[in-house]
Amino acid sequence: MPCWRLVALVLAGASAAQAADSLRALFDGDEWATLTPALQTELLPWLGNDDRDGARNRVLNAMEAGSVSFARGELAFAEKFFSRAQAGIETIYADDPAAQAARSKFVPESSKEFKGDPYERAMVGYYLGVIDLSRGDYDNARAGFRFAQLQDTMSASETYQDDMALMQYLVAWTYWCEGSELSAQEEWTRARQRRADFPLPERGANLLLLAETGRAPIKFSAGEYKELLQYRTGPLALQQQVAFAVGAQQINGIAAEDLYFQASTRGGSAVANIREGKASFRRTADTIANVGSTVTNVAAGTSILQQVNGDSGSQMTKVAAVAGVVTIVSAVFGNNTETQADTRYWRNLPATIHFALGSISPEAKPEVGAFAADGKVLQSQAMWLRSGGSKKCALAYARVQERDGQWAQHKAAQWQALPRLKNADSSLLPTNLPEATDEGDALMEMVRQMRQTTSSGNNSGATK
Amino acid sequence: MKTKLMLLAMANIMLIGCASAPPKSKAVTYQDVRSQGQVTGVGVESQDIVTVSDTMVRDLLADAGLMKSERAPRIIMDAEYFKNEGTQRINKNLIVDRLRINLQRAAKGKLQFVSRESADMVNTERQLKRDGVTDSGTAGLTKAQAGADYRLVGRLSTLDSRSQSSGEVERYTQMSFELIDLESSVSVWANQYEMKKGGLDDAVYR
Repeated sequence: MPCWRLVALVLAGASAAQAADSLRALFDGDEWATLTPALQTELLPWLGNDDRDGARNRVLNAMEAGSVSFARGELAFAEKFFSRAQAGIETIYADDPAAQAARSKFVPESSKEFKGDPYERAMVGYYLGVIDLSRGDYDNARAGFRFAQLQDTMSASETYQDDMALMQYLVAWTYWCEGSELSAQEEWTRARQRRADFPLPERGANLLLLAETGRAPIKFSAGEYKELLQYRTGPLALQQQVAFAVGAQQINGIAAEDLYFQASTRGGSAVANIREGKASFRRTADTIANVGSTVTNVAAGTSILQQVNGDSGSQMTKVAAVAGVVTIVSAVFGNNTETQADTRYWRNLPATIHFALGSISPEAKPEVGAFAADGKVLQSQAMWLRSGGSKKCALAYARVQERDGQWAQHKAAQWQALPRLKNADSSLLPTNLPEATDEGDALMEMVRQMRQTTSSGNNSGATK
Repeated sequence: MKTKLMLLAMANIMLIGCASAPPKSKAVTYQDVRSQGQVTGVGVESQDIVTVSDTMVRDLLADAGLMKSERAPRIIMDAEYFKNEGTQRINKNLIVDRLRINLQRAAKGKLQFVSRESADMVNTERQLKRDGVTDSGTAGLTKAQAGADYRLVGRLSTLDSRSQSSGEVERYTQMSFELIDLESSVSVWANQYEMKKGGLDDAVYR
C-alpha cells in the first residue's frame, strides 16, 4: 500500500473517530426517522462513504447527499448537508497536515480534504440560497447567492470572474420578493448586463420556477503524467430545453447556467503550478534514469569487451555500477512522484439550470416539460412547490429525470413545441419518437419498437 | 560502496515515506465561546457574536437618555428588522437574542422588552382567559398587549476581496444597530461593530 494511502486512511480514520463532525452526526434519531424509507435508502451510501472517507471527502459527500435530499424536496435535510459543505469550504486550511502532504511530490493531490472547484463551491451557495428562498428567508437567500458569486471570482481570467448571471438575478429576485423594488432593479440591471435575455418580472410576478437538466461536468486528468486537470461535459441528455406549466399557462424556460462552461473557464490555479512542478521533477528523474540506464549498458558492454581482450575492465565496471545505482534511485524517485490531478468531482450536479418567472394561483400544481433540442416535448413531471411561509413569493423546482434514453410523451398535447435550438447537436435529436398521446401508449409503442429491433437483429444474425 | 548504497536506499525510503504525521483523533470537548476555534474562516464566529453583543450591551447601559427615563422604556428587540446583507448565511437570532438577554439581565428592570414574535401565542392565551376556558391567572387582565416605544433595527454587511495574485481572501464585516422611536421614527441610539479578517488558504486549494 502506498504510504500516501496509509496517511489518507489514518487521517480519515482520525476524522471518522470525531463522530461529532461526521455527516451522521447532523441528524438525531428522531429526525432520521421522519425521512421516507426511499430517501433513507438513497442517503445511506453517502453516510457510509463519509464513515469510510472521513474528513478527506466530507465536503464532497455532503454536497452529493445534499443534492439527493434537495431533489426530493427534503429541504431541511439538504440544508444540513449543504451547510456542512459550506463550513468546509469556508475554512481556511493553513498549516493543515493533509494539505501540506498533498503538496509533497510523493503524495497525490487527491489526499487533501476536498473543497471543490469554484463552480462546485458556488453551487453550494446556490442550493442554500434556494432553500432559504423557499422558506421566505430572503436575507440568507441573498447571502447564499452572493456566496456563489464570490466563489466564482476565483477564475483566473477577468472575463469569467463573477459571470454566473443567474446568481445576480436571484439576488434581484430576493429584493423583489421583499418589496425592495429599487434594489431589485439595480440587481436586474447587473444580471442583464451579463445575460440580456433574462426577463424583467411582470408586475405581480411571484413564482420562481427552477429546473435542472443533464449531468455534472466530469473532471479528468491528462498530460504526460496526468498532471493536467481537464473537464468534459457529462453524458449528454436528450432533455435540452424546458418549459413550465402553471395552470393552463405554458412558460418557456431560459437556460441560465451551463456548469460545464463554469467549470472549464476557471483558468490557471496555484495547485496547477504545484502539479506542474511535480511533473517537471518526475520528467527530470525519468530522464536521469534513462541516461543512467544507457550509460550502464554501454559501460557494462565495454567492460565485457575489455575483459575479452585481456584487460581487467575494472574502471568500466565501476562506471556501470555507479550508473546503475543512479538509474535505480532516479527510477524510484520518478515512479513514486504523484503527479496526477485530483479528479474528484460532485457527481450529481446538473449540466444546466433553467428558470422562468410566473404568477402562482392557489390551485396550480406546476409541472416542468422537458424538450429535445429540436423543440419536441419528451416528458413532463411534477415540481415541488414551496410558498415561503407567509411571504409573498413561491418557488417551484424539479430535477428533470433522465429515463435512460427512454422517454414517453406524457401529456404531450398540453405542451406547445419550443423553437429548435441554434447549433442543435444532431446526435441529441430523438429521431424515433413514438407517436403516442399518453405515457401508457408511448411505453407500449416503445416495447413494440424494441421487439421489432430485436426481431430484425435476430433475423440479420441468422442470415449471416 | 556498500555503505553508500545503503545510505542512498535509506534516503530514498525517507523521501517516499510519510510526509507528515497524521493528527491524532480528538474527543469532543467544551470550548470557550470567546476563543478562536480551530475551524476558522473569515466569517462571523462565536467569539465575534460574544464581542459584538457585549459591546452593544455596555453602550446601551451607558446611554443616559434610555436608562434614566422616569418609566422604563419598552423595547422590541428581535431579528425581524435586523438585515443580513452579507455573503455569510447566519442565524440572526444568535446575535439579537444574546443582545436582548444580556441587556435585560443587566438593566434590572430599567428597560422592558416586548416580545412581538410571541404576539400570536399571547393572543390565543388572552382569548382563552376571556372565554372563561381558563381563569385570569394571578397578574390580572390588561386591555391590550403592551405597546413598544423603541425597536431594534440593524444590518450586517460584508465586503469581500480576493487577491488574484496571492489568493489571499479578506472580509470586512460591519454590524450596525439602531433603536428607532416607534412614534417619531427618530433614531435614539446607534452603534456599530466592525471587523476585518483575512487569510490565505493552502496552495492546494487555490
